[in-house]
Amino acid sequence: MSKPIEVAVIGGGCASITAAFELTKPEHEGKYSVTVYQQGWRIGGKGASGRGADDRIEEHGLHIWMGFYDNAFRVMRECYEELGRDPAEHRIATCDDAFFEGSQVGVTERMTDEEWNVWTTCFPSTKGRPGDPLTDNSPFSVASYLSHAVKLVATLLKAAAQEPGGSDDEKEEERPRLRDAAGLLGQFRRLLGYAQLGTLAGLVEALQALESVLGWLGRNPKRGGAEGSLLADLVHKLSAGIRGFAERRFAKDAERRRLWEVIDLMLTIVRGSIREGLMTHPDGFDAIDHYDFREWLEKHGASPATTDCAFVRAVAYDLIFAYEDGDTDRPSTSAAQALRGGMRMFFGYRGALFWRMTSGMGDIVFTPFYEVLRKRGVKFEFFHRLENVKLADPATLEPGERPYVEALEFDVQAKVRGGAEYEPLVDVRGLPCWPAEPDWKQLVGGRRMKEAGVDFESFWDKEKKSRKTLRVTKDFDFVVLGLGLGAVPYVCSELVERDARWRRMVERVKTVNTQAFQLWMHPTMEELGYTGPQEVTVSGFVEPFDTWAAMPHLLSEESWPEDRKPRSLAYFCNVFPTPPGALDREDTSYPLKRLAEARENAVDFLNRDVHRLWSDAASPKGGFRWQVLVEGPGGGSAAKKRSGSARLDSQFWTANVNPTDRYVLSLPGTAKDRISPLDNTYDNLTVAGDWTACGHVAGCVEAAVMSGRLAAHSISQQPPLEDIVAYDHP
Amino acid sequence: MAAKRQKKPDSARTQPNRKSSLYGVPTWIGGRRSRAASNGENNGNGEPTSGGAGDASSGGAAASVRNVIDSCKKILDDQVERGRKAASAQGGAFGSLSDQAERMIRAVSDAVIDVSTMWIDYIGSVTQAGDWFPRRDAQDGGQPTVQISPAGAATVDLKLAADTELETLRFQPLMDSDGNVWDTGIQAVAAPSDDTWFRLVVRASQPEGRYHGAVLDETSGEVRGTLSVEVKRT
Repeated sequence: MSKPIEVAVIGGGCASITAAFELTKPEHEGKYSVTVYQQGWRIGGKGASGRGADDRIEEHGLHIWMGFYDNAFRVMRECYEELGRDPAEHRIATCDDAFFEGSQVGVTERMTDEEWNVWTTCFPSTKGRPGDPLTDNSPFSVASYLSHAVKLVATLLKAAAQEPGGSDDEKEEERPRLRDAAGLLGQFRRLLGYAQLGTLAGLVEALQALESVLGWLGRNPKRGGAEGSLLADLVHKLSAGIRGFAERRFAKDAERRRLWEVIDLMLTIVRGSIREGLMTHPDGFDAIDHYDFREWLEKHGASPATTDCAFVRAVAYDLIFAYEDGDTDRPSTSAAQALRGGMRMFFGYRGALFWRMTSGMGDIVFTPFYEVLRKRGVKFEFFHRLENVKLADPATLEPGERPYVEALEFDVQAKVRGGAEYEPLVDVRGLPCWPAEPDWKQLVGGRRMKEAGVDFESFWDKEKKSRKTLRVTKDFDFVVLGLGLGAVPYVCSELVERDARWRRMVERVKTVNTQAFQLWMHPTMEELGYTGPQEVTVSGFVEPFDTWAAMPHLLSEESWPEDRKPRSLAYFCNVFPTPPGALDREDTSYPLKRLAEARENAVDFLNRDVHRLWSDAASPKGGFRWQVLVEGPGGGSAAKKRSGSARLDSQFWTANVNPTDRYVLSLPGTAKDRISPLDNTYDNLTVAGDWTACGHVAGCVEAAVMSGRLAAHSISQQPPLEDIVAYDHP
Repeated sequence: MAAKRQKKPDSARTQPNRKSSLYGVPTWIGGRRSRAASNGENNGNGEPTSGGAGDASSGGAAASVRNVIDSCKKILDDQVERGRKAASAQGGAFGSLSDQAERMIRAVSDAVIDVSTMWIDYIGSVTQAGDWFPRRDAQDGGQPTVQISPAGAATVDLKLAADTELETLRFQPLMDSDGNVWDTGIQAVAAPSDDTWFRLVVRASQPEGRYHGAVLDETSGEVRGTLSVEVKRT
C-alpha cells in the first residue's frame, strides 16, 4: 500500500471535525492520514462545552440545532451508527437519544416601556427527520418556498378565524356554541373580525400578485389591451384603501396585529421575490445580497410595523447575532441570507423546527466524533496553538506552479507526562464528556499552571513549552484550515498580505464577540412567574440579552446533590460589543476586563429586565431575587456569606472575545467576499468554517458542516457535491 | 531525494450553482431525475429536453398565464360584486353583516388564497431564467421543421427518450413569439420500436413560426422539458 497522504486539520470545530470524518471514511481505504491540531484541551470550537462542578454543563453559548440541518444531522447519524454504543449500557447511545424535538418558539414584543409580551408558538411536526434522503418533493426552490409562504398565510388566516388561545379540543367545543343563540352574536363578531383580516390580506396579496402579472403585460404590449387595463383598475381601486384600513383596525388588537405582521411579512417576501425575479435568477437569493433584510422588505412595501416587528427582529437579527461590531443599535443582515435561512428554517425543516440536545454540545456532538475518529486512526494533537501559516516563497515556485503552504508553525502549550497521549475525556455516570478545564494531572507542571490560572484557550495565553514546525511533504501534504475567521488575520498574515481576496475577506466579512450566562435556580419556572411552554426558546427580548432558552431537560444530565438540586435552568446569550481593529496580545488583562463586563451586563439584566419574562423573579424591593440561584459545591459556608448579586458568582458566564470565538456575520454585500473550500488558488490548502463560501452564508452548525464536507471534497473529490445538501441552494 | 509534493485536484467549480432548476427541482437531486432528451430520428432535438438548460422558451406559459388572469379576474369580479351587494344589503357596515355575508367573506378568502397558491405554483413550474415568461426565439437550427401546404394538415413524429413514458406527460399549448397559439392536440402513435413516439398535427392554417411549449409531468405538474418546432409553408 502506498504511503497515505498526510492531512493536517487545524482546529477542532464542526467544520474541521467534519472534514476529518469525511476524509477517513472507510471508502477511502486509508488513503488519507489525518491529524487534528487543537489549541488547549478540547475540541468543539464555538460548540465546545465542558463539565464543571457538579458535572454541570457549561456552554460557549446557546446551541439548538435546526430541523433543516440536513448535512449536520446526516454526518451526526453516520457517526452514532459507527460509534455503535449499546443502548443497554449507554443512556445516549444513538442519534435519537441525543436529540429531541423542541419546537416551542417565542418572540418578545415591547408593548410599552414597562410591558413586554412573550408570544410563543409550537411549530408542527413534519414528516421525516433532518438528514433523511431528500425527495423530489423537498421544497428547496424559490418557487416552492413562495408557494409554502402563501400556504402559510392561508394557515395563519385559518388560525386567526378561531378564538385566540383555544386548543383543538376547545375549537371542537365551540362549534355548538356558534349555533347557540346566546353566544352567537359575540362569537360571530369576533369571527367576522378575523374573517375581515383574511379577506383583506388575501385580496391585497392576490391583487398585488396580479399587479406583477400586469407588469409583465406592460412589457409585452401584445398581451395587454383592455383586459390588462381592467385588471389594473381593479388592482388599484381595491388595494388603495384596504391596506390602510387593515392596519388601522388591527393596531388596536395585539393578537391580530401580530398575525397581520407575519402575514404582511410573508406577502412582502412573495411579492419581492417575484418582482426581483428570484425564482429564476442565476444568483438565486444572492441577487439581493446587497440589501439589508429590512431595507429589502421596505423596498417591497412592507409596512414599518412589519419591518420593526418582533418576529423579524428575533428571527432575522437576534438569533444570528446580526449586529455589526456587536452594537445593538446597528442591526444588519443580508436580505439574501435572511431569506435563504428563513425559508430553509420555516419551510425546509423536517421533524421539528428546533432540535435540542439531551446533554452538552461537547458530549452530544464532539465526544462521538472524537471516539469514532480515534478508532479510525485520526491523531489528535492537543495543546497546539497555531502561530503562523507559512507560504512558499514565490521566488521558488516553478513556472505555472501554484502557491502552497510550506510550513505550519505551532507553539506547544503543554507537554503530557511521560510523553503519553493526552486523554481528554471524563466519565459522567457512564457518559464520556469533555471537562470544563484540562486534566492538569496529565500535564507536566500542571499544578503550577492551574494555580497560575492558565487559560489554554485564550488568545492571550503565552504558555509555550516548545515550538513545532510542520513542513510540507515531511509532516503534511494538505492543510484544512478550520479556525474561526477571527483568527485568520493573526495566523495567516502572509496570506492576507499577498492575496487581495484574503485581505478583502478579512476586512469585509466581519465577526462579533458574544456573551452568555447560565442560571441554575431553586424555583421552577412557574414559581418564577413564567407560565408559558416549558423548554421554550425566546428571542427578540431587551438588550443586552435578547435570547433566552429554558433548558430544564439538562438538569438530569448533571450530578447535583439532593440538597442543592436546581429545579430550573436558563441560558441567555447575545452579541457583545466588538471594538474594531486588532487585538493587543500583550494586553493580558483584556479578557478579564471583558469577562467582568459580561458579568456586569448579566447583573444589570437580571436586576432590571428579567422580571418582564419571569414576573416573580423580582424581589419586593425591586431587582432580582438573587437567593433563587443555586450555590455551587464550593459554596458551603461561603454561600451563607454571599448575598445579592455576589450569588451570581456561583453561576456560569462567558465573554467570547477570543478571535476564534467570534461569530461570523452575514452583512449585506459580503457573500461574494468569502473564499470557498473549493478554491484552487493554493494547491495544498483548503478552508473550512461557517465563514467560508459554503453555500449557506450564515454562522451555524449546518454551514460549518457543509464547509467541512466541501473541504474534504476539495482534497478527495468526496463526498460528491450533489450529496452536500443545499450547496446549490438558490 | 525530496518527496514529491502532493497537489489537490482542481475543483470543477468553486461556487454554488444558485440558479434554480427552472421548475423547482433542486439541482442536487437533479441527478436522480430521468432525462427526457433523446435524439429523434428525423427531428433534431425537438423532443422534450431536460429542464434547466435555459435555452428554450415557455411560449405556452403565456397562454396559460392569460388563463390564470382570466380565472383571477372572474373570481375577483364575482366575489367583489357579491361582497358589494352583501355590504350594501347590510348598510355597508362590516360589523352588521349577516352570516351569509360572513360565509361569503370566508369564501373570498379561501378562493383568493387558492388562486394565489395556484398562481405561485404555476409560476414556479413554467417560468424560465432571466425574466418573467421570456419569449425568446429558439436558437437557429435544432428544432424540427414541419412543412405545411394549403392542401391540408401535416404531421411530424417525435421520439421520446427511452426512460420517458408518454402517459406521464402533459403538453402545454405551443405558442410562437407573436402569440399565435397552436391549438391542435398532440397525439401519441403506436411505437414502432421500444421507443415511444408522439405526433404533432399541424393544421394547414397554422401560421408560420417557431412554436414552443412546456411539457409537464402529469402527476407533479413539474416541467420535464420544452417542446420546440418550426412551421414553414411550402
